[in-house]
Amino acid sequence: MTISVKMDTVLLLVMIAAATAVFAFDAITEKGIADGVPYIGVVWLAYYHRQRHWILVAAIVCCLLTVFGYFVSPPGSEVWKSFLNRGLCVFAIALTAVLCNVAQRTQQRLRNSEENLQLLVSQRTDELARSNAELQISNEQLEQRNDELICTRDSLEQSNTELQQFAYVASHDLQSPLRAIAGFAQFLEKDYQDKLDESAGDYLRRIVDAAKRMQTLINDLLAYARVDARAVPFRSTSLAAVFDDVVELLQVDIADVGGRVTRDDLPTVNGDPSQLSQLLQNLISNGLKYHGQSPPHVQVSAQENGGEWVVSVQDNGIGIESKHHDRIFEIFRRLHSQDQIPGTGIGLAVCRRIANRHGGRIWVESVPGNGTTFSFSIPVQRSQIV
Amino acid sequence: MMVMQANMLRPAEILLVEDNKDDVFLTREGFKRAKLAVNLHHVENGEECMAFLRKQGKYVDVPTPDLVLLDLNMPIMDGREVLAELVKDESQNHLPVVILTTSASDRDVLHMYKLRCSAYATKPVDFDQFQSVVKGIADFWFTVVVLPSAPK
Repeated sequence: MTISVKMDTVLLLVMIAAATAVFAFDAITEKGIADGVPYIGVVWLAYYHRQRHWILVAAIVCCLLTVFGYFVSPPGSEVWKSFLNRGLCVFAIALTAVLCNVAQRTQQRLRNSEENLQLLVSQRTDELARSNAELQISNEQLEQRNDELICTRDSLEQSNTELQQFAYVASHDLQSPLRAIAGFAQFLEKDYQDKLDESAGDYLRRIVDAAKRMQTLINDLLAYARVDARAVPFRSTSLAAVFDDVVELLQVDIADVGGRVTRDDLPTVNGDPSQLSQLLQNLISNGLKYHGQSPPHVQVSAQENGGEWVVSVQDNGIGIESKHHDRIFEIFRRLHSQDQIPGTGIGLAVCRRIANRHGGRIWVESVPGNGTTFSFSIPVQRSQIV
Repeated sequence: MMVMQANMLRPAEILLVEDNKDDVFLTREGFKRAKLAVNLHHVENGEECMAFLRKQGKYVDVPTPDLVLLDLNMPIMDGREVLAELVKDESQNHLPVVILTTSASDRDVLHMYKLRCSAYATKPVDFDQFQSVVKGIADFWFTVVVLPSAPK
């Protein structure tokens, strides 16, 4: 038997004992004492029993005992007083029973609520624990991804450094033998002029030209590699100012071809001023170089388009066939021979690298015989950096 | 090229520190064809250079150079180490040192000037230009510039 069952039994026994005692007391003593008021205690005891019906049972029994007590020890005189007393007692017992009932019911309801709440809390706790576990897994995955990215970035950085070292060494070490080739060929030219026939002189000239040409190629490659190597942090740059500087730089070339270079309003963007200058210079210079019969006219304009500036450099030159539109941006890929139009073919490759570095793209629109428009995009500068 | 020292004219002494034999030849030819009569001494690397300047070992009787033409990339001890060493040496750090090399990389140029080289020049591939550079250096250092006399 559990404690609570034991307690209940004990309680009932106590109640019975108490009722018996009160009854005996009532029967033995004279009028005015007991009568039934102590029975309230018995009913109140029933409140502590787990089963609610005992309150009712106790109440009924006590009422009956109160009534019965009248007959066991009838009062001598003043019968109506006894009636009133016992009547009031019955009323008090009934009231106590009701109160106890209500109290017990409220308690029961409270206990139910508590149980419900605990159930809810434990449910929520379980849910939270589950969510937490999922978040933990997510977190671990993110961290792993992050580590992978850091790894990739580190290896890319190292790769970049190695490439730059390679470019430095290659350019440096390749030039010494070139110097020997050119130098000694030139010595032959000068010192053995009278002993050499025209062919020999021609051969030597070609040797020297090739060596010089190779040096130019090496320097161009270096310039291409430097676009990212010598990266300066971006700052607010006025493209109009850059344009004006470039045009001043190209004054002689413009005059030589009898050309004109003009611009519309150009925006201020976030970028590397020297690289943007190089970019514009290459494009404008191309516009002047690849001209047709009429004097070259190069026009630079800009338009905002969905969060980026599109800057266009348009010329009235010979144009480019669409099948070449991708090729021309590759290193050393040219569409003309050195005799036709000189150049190494690094200009547009550098332009593309610069455009990419600035978060944009570069492309060309052109019809042969109808001029060319090179356009590049740069994201619009959101915050004004003064 | 004549240098004024102690009220006497004497030929200019130049020390060329260079490992590439072809470049040594071209430099000599550069001076020769520019008709600059200089005493051109040559060592192959930085270690030999320091020995020459300190007149150690086989260099006991060499003259003190008026100008050092220093290449950068050499085995054993390169131009950067030589210059760093020279700057520290009280008996040598008055010598004009002109870096004459192939590399025009910003990093190298800045580094050498910071090490207090006197000038930095690159060697062109074309010989005529090379000769101009060599002649230009000689003209500047021996006619325009006042050279220090050796410390006592």
